[in-house]
Amino acid sequence: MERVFRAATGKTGLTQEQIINLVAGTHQTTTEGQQVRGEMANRIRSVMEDQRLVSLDTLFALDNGLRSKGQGATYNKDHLAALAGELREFEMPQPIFTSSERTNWAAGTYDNRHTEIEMKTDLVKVIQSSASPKQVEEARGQLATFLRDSLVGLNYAYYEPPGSQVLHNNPLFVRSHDFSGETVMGVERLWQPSHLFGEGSPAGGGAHLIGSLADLPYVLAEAEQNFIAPDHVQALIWQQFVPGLISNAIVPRWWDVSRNELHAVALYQRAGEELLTAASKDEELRGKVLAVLSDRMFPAAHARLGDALREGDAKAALAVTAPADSFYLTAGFQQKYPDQLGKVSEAGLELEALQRQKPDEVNWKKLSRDFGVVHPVFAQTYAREFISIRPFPALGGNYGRLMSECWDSGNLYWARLADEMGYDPVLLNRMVPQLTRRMVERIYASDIDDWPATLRALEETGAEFREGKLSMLEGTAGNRN
Amino acid sequence: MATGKKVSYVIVSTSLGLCFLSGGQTVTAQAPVQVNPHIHVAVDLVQLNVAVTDNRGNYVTGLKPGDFTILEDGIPQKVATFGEGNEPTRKLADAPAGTNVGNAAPSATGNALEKNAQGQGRPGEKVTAEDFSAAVAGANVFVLFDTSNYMYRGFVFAQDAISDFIRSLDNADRIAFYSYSRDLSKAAQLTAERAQVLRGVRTTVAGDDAALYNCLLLTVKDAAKYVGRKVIVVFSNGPDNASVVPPEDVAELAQSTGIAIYMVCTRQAKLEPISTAVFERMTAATGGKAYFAKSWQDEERAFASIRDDLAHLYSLSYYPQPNPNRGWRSITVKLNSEPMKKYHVRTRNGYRLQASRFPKEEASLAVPE
Repeated sequence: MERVFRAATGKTGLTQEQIINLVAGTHQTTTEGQQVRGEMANRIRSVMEDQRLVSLDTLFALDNGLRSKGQGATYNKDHLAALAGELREFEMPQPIFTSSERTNWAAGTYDNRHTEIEMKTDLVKVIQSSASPKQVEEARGQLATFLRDSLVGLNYAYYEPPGSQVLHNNPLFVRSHDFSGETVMGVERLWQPSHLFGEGSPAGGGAHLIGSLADLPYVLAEAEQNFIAPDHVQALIWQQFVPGLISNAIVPRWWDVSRNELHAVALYQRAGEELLTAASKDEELRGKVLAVLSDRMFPAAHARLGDALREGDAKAALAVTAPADSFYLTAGFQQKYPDQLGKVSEAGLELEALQRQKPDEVNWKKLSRDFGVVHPVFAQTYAREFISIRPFPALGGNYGRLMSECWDSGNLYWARLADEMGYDPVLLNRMVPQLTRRMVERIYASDIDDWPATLRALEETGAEFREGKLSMLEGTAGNRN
Repeated sequence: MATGKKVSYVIVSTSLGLCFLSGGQTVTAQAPVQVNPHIHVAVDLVQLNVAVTDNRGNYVTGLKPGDFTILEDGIPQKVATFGEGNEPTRKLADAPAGTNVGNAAPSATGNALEKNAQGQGRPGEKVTAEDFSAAVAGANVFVLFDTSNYMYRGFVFAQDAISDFIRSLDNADRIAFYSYSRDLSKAAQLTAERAQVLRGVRTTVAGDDAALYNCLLLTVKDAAKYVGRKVIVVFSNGPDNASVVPPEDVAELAQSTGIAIYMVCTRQAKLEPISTAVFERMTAATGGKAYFAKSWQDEERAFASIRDDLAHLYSLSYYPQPNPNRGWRSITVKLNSEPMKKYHVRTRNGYRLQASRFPKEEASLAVPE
């Protein structure tokens, strides 16, 4: 850990507060930046607190004290004993089931040996006795289990889905993380991507994650998705799709986005819409536009778009075009016809000027890194990037997750919203997770492949936000559901 | 003292409400965040709803504050407010220095409370004693209906039973109607308009997995936002095949926020021992009760019982005396005089102290109702 600290800050020792502030985000100089970063830090603290995890400060101090004792150096025995007492503060929830009922009704599911061992850990005896160096070393070793929990907790907290419930209401959730899976299902999950285990087993003590921390954002979102209460009774787009949407919103951080870059994202979308509008009156342009979009849209949607453009109905054409389609249309058109965008679109003209003036801030690589979504299945990486592909049909099973990796309209649309409302880009750190959650609440699909339902939910959420029905500037700190 | 309406069963219950005042702060767009690195635990008010019955199950009414003794971890407590049934509560003692009397309402919002006409707590605005009394007249009843695959056969009958229950509630009560399967549907927010709630009942559709404890958790959290007496009535035969939170966590939260849970089932639920165990134990722990009728058409007894409970509960509250225990705190309620000791007092046996340094969740995207 010292090496990590040194690499990150140049210092070898950090307090938990310093670690949390470091994890929360980069140093901010503006009032809004400081506020949003403070909110992010508070969210992390809140998870650590609700999971009742031992403070890293306590663990480091105990480690140092025990080292001193083992080496025969001086140490404050009473202070160390008091810190050791903190290890025993955790209490299990008041039980509803007896041990034998757990055995009968949750065999293979309920296993809290890790927590139970922690609760029995008593370092006070070692601290207050004349223990041998070997005994002291063994006592130090017992700190590892608490350290593991606190570090895992920081990871969970960093990827906390918006409005999460499990992280705040099941204090065993982090402690129960099982890297090997051997307690319940052999060692097959060792170093495999994490996996949610134990849902729907009331006597099992709650679900928990098994496996490594790989794919953690998605699995945490999977654990939390059923706590999102849809506005409508039926919401057919769900299961693997929603965790993917949430992952796309919680993985990115927007500390390093300039107003120029934010504005460029909006201009790409507006220019695409202006291209479509112009194409509804210009046959030659129509052919170019449809050719660019033919690689991105479902054949049926592409046909509807073509019909609308041929009929001169720009409004209908825009209605079937997602924000990402407009965005990619501009990029594709600009690539194929480098000198024509500004002649057809005012926003395109402004975009070209911005690209010339601020090439470091407004270039495809940076936009892709800041506003692309993650593709852990398609590209085997959590790096964000633009991948222009046709939407993946639902089909069932894991294909829902592929659907979500094709959905890059969310972050682009929220960024445009922020730009049009004059918000500082750092506010995206607050806006995007919450607006995405609200969008999920609004999804009202009539069949499992109802992509337009997602687009409708996006636009309705945006409209609510523009109308001030979703208060965003009040921040999240100090409020609670 | 008098014995009240005779009922054919014994039901005595106590539930507990807590007002945890946050040590955190509301942050505006203009103000930089101030971080308080010290964990601050504050309990402003503990509210108990207590039912007292005699050996025949008759409610014992007319008791006075002095008739009760409250112990928390064995430490005697001073009754701060007292009320009986639907009568307004009376203030008997001032809050200790450093606490806000205006917050004298059960909540787990972690914020100071204000109230609107619905008695809903909001951060910031103070509540007068008159406001509080008006707000707690009647009860806030949250109905949670299982619409999962497990309810397919009895779905329509259960709808009818719920409608009957809603119609039968006292006019002073406000009702919310939620349904659940894999996720929660808030068909009718808390309202005094019965027709609105009944429309919500009729909009439900059956199907999908059952995440009872997930959805009960969300319902408890919604109910906890309101001041006054709060109960959740769940219509379900179990089981649960999709929750990620265990019933223990839901029960603790209900206990800590003073919400009594009632479960209304048919005997079919008895075929599933896990649900039966949870229903009976969770309801008892929160001061409610589980009912297992022959069929959904035969739930009159359950409805009458819940109605009677709402009408006869004593409402007591106290500001906890200094107590170093930061974990689970036990509570005992006793009757003082020797002749009263024959009566049954069922009380919640404790609550868990919750640290409240930081905001727990995001509420800024709540859509105005």
